[in-house]
Amino acid sequence: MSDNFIDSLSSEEKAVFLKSLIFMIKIDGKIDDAERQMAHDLVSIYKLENCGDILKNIGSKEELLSEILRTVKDRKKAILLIRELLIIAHIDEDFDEKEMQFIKEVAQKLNIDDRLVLELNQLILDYKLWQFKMEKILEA
Amino acid sequence: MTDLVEELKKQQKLYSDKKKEIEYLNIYTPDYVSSAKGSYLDFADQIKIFTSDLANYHQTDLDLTSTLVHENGHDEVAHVYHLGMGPKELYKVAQCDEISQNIRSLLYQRNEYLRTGDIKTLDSVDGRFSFYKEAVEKGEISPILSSQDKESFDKEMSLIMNGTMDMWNKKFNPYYKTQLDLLTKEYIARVGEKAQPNPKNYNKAINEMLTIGGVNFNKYRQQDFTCDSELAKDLTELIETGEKEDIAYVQKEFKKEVSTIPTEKVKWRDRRKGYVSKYDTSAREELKASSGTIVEDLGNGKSYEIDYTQTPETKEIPDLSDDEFIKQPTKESKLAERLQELRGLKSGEKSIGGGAASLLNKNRFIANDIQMQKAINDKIKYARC
Repeated sequence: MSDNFIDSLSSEEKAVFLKSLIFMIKIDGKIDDAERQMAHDLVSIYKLENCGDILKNIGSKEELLSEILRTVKDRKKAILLIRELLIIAHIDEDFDEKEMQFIKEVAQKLNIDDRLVLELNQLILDYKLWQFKMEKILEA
Repeated sequence: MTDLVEELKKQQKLYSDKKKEIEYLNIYTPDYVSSAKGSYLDFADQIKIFTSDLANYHQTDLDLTSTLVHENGHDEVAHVYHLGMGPKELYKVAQCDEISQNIRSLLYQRNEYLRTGDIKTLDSVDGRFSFYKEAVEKGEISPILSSQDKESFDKEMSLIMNGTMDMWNKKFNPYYKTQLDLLTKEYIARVGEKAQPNPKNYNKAINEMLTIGGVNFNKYRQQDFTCDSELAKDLTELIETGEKEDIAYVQKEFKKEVSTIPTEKVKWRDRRKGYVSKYDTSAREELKASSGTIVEDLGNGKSYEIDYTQTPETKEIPDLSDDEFIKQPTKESKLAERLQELRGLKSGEKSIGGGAASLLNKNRFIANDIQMQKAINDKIKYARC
């Protein structure tokens, strides 16, 4: 899977990826400065033009899940969306139940097996541990 | 299959445990747990000072700064624990560490006494420096005179070194045994068979720890540190005579043990305002806020609520690593000596005016006298002509 997968996404796919990620960030109902910055960064990473309106109208979870189902047809892209969501969830040290629940529902919509979600999640956690250990050793 | 959310939670819990394990396994220098006034956690780079409305200590800025100087001292000398040495030596170095930090606190209070002239600045809530205050009151030592007179200076520095060591051995040593044993275990967990006795490194560590404010207190020390830990003795024997496999096994076991640092056993547990010294990671994370309440789990179903406010980070810590912190008569007299010498006024035996030089001077005067006599004789001779 290419790290430059964003370039392979269509405008519609980019929009739904971005909406999903912003939804995750705002899932606890409030958005602090760090999260606002993260949303801003995501917009520039996804290079989506005219995204202002899209982001203002993310809609309800049900609407978003339906849009995900309509837009993300490719399995590889579906897996990548789950990976993106998991990464966002692990950016801080607080992967809470609402985020887990949302990922579960997205995975179900996209017909991604739970075991695959767990594998992806473990991969990210292992990477974080590896990073943490390296920082400790290097006294960074 | 079990619910995905539950599985994710399990993964998250495992991750948190592993992360904690990494955090604790990376104790490359020992940490200090103090149930009393403050603590220094090297691995977390944290100095914690406890304050409480109910406590009799830390009610004055002087007392609080004195503790801050103590804990900061641990930070300044933490590097000596990277020197290779045997378990018994390590244990004694850790004792020396505590004693030297008490000396730092005393020196800070001594400077406050010199600055203000108020004898109360030498007080301490638990009376740890009463030996020094009494000596000042009785006129046995004089910090004021010390800065001008070498004999007085040496007498005072000797009392600071040996008085503090006596006080610590009697008052605190028994209470530090568990902590120093744990620290020794951490050291073995870290270095294993490399913990070979090394008198050179041991002496280097002691000298570094006891060089404070420009004075090497080690040269005033009249007694050696004594390792009364059976654990440190046994470990020394194991390192010196044991099989490599046995040492490796002990190291492995200690790694397990020190990675789960036991809950701090504190007898006195009033509600505390201030930094809280706990090994509970979640509690530490709560301290990110500048103030609040945390719950300390003591085990056995018991817990305490603790109010805290963080000490401002901007608080200035007196710099006892400054060579000029203790005003020394020797330095002054050296300068005075040099000035006198350059002015041609000095007549001490080491100066150009004394010792063999005095003979030289004497000869010069004699020579002058001879020359003068010769000149006079010549004049007389000419006059006769």
